[in-house]
Amino acid sequence: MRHDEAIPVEVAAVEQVTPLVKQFTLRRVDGGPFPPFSGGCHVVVVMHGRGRTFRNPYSLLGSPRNVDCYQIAVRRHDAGRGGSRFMHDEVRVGTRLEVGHPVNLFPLAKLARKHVFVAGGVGITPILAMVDDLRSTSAPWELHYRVRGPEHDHFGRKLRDENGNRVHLYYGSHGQTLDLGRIVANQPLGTHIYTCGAEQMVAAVAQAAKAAGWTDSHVHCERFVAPPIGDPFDVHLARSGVTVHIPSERSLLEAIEAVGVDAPYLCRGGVCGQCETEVLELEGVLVHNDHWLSDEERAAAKKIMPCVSRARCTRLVLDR
Amino acid sequence: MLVTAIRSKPVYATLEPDLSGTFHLLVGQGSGGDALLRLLEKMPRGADAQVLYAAESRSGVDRSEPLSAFGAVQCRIFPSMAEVVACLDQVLSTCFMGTRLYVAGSESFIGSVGQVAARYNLTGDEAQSERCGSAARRVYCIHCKTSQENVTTNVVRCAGCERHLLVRDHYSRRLAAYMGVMADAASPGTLPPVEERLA
Amino acid sequence: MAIAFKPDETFRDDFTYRNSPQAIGRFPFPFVADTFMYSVNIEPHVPGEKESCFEFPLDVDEHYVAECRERAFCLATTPDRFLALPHMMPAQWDALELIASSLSRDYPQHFCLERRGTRWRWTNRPLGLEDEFTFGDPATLACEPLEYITRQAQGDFCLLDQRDGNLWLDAGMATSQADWSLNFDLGMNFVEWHGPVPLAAELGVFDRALKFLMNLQIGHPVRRLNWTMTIHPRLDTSPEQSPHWAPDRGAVTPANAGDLVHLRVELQALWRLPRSNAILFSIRCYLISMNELVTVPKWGRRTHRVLKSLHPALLDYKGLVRYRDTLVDWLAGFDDGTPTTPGTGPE
Repeated sequence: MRHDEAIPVEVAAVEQVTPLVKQFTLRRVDGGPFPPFSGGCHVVVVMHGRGRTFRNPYSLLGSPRNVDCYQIAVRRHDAGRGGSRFMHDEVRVGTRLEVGHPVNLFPLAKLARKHVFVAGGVGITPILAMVDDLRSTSAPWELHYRVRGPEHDHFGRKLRDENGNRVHLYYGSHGQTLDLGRIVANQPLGTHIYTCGAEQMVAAVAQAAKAAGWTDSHVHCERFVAPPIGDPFDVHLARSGVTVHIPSERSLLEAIEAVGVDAPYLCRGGVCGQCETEVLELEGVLVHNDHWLSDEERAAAKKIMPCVSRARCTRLVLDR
Repeated sequence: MLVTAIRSKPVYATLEPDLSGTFHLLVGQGSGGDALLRLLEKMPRGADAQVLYAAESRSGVDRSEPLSAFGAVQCRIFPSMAEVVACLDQVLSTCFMGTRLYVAGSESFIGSVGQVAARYNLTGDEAQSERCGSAARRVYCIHCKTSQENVTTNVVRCAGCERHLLVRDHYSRRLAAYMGVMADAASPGTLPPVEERLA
Repeated sequence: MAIAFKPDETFRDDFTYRNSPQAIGRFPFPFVADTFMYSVNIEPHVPGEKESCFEFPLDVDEHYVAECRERAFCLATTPDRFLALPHMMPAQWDALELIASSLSRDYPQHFCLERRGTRWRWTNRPLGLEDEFTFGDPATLACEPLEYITRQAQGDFCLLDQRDGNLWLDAGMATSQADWSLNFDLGMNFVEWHGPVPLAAELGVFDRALKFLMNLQIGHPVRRLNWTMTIHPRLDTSPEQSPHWAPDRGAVTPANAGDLVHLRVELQALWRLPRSNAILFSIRCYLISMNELVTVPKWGRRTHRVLKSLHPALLDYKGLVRYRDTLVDWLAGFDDGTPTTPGTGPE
């Protein structure tokens, strides 16, 4: 996305839907309709804070056919770069933000004979839109949704009210856990499984599916890695001729953008490959936090994904 | 006359046990029976497997006996390819995720099996195929939309409309056949030299 | 902009199709240099020069009405020119929206799309049509959405589903294709349907193009040009129809080369679609006779040089072998050896 193509929006509603999660309803400043989208899409939300700009990807949770507004849900993270804290503490009705065009890195498989969704916490958001898309098809589906406790299951109850016993809710506080072995067992041929939530849960689902003989083409994971914080370091951008300091709570990509260097990106979550950057010089180690580079590429340390990865080094020169 | 070299031909391999799967469905015809036997030898003891086999074959190769006699594996024998394909459809409707499909036989047989498997959204990483026996092709005439079996030459007379067809290497998995286009469209009566296809 | 439609032009039988001087001037000449080889020549499909064929995302020109009639004739005689696999219905509606809204926005004197929620009204003045339908409800349209709207658009259109790391040709309208069969290729993926193209695969063209297209985003369409040659201004050169057009390749003589041989350029554009996440692939066909082509001296010189130096595999694949020598000799008369400037524009 080019930064000048974001759509100006205004926050029309803010709802504390669970103790940790706020839902934001966004309308276009120009009053026009949003682009329609496909379930599983995310948008990059641009937030202008004091002295810094956040660009965070959030899944669109509303009906893809509703073009009057976009809805996202943000879980508060107290540690981290501060984007979610900004959304919770500084953004209210009337706040102006920008959103990029919807991008789908987590689409439904159109030829699936059955869809199984497994989600935890705020990972339910893309699935809300995907389930809405499935209304117009006859493919069977089921959802297994785990939350900390009943006070966190706003979205789960809504889905169960609308969809009955296709929706299975699990409360951690009641000792209910996902029996992944049972979920992946005895599913008919052509079933696809989609998982979104904490890294641990996503990895567990992938592992359970593999153990039950599912192949990669039928297992879909939404695993946005929020750019982890880390030690501060400096980077020299060879083409731009500028040296940038990367503080702990800012990602490499954000710091590059902050000095006006236009670096390509798409998902900002370490999964799509768009921001791949060549490492020209390195004295130290790269800290790879992405899900894009191969093991060999990580070991070779000639490439880095600046949206989520960092370095512990005395010298780093990138081809930007 | 142009005989264009094209590269969208299917690629086959030797069947190997895919132990990431939990159920192994072996389907074969004619000389494909040898490939299934080799595969069964490589399967670990106790692997959950089932064999569907048709003796029908151009070459007359029939491995019904050794396949039936192979211990610890359920084996069902059918007289014709059509019946084994119909049975496969019924079996797949009861299979679960974790199934691996292994197909051995002529290219036409593999193609017909592939059409059934596609209906169950069985993807490339869940299936293997090994082509056995002759290089005979099923050819689809794009002019009259009929298919004919056992074509071993590069030019063939269409059984449906009698045009002479150039048999291209361009293959459709949806139609499970190679493309047949009128061979003398440019100069009626002028055909390329007819050659036997060896591979 | 006023378009002088030529509704009675024909692309078969008596071949009355001709380009006006304006149409010649805006022809998408494809050769940027005096030699040609396949490359990943994808560029952003952004608005081009005014009055050019790149000005709007979908171009309507003087041949519009005649081409729609030609398409209707093809569909009446060979209905499998439009095919769609069942899972592509949402993509068909996306495509209808994109094509109708483009035409309505860019040619308001000819087309009008009015939307009231899901109740849409579509007016097509050149074809004399006015239809109301409910967007998303197939029962309210006379035929499937992609067929409905592409009967009213120039060029072929394909819908590509994205899955399993590839793009799949799962629906299409093809009545002006250059020797490929929609019925045969339906359901193939990007690598498979390009199977017959020589050399490009070894050059890595398709791998890079596929990787790029998998990341195609809403609002950022791309385009490229493809070219071949056709005898007579015949749009329908599908392989099914080869008995009709293939013999013409033997009819070229020094006396008629200027009239008969046509440069056939495809302006291909690709858009990401919103609700289906599929890709719309348009293949817009422009034809120009050699006589018309050489009225632009640079184009005459360059076409001569490109054809003279073209790789034999490309000559073969593009079907030029039979008349290539006759054509090259004819074009030599328009090539005085003067250097040509880079790029496709006239000197």
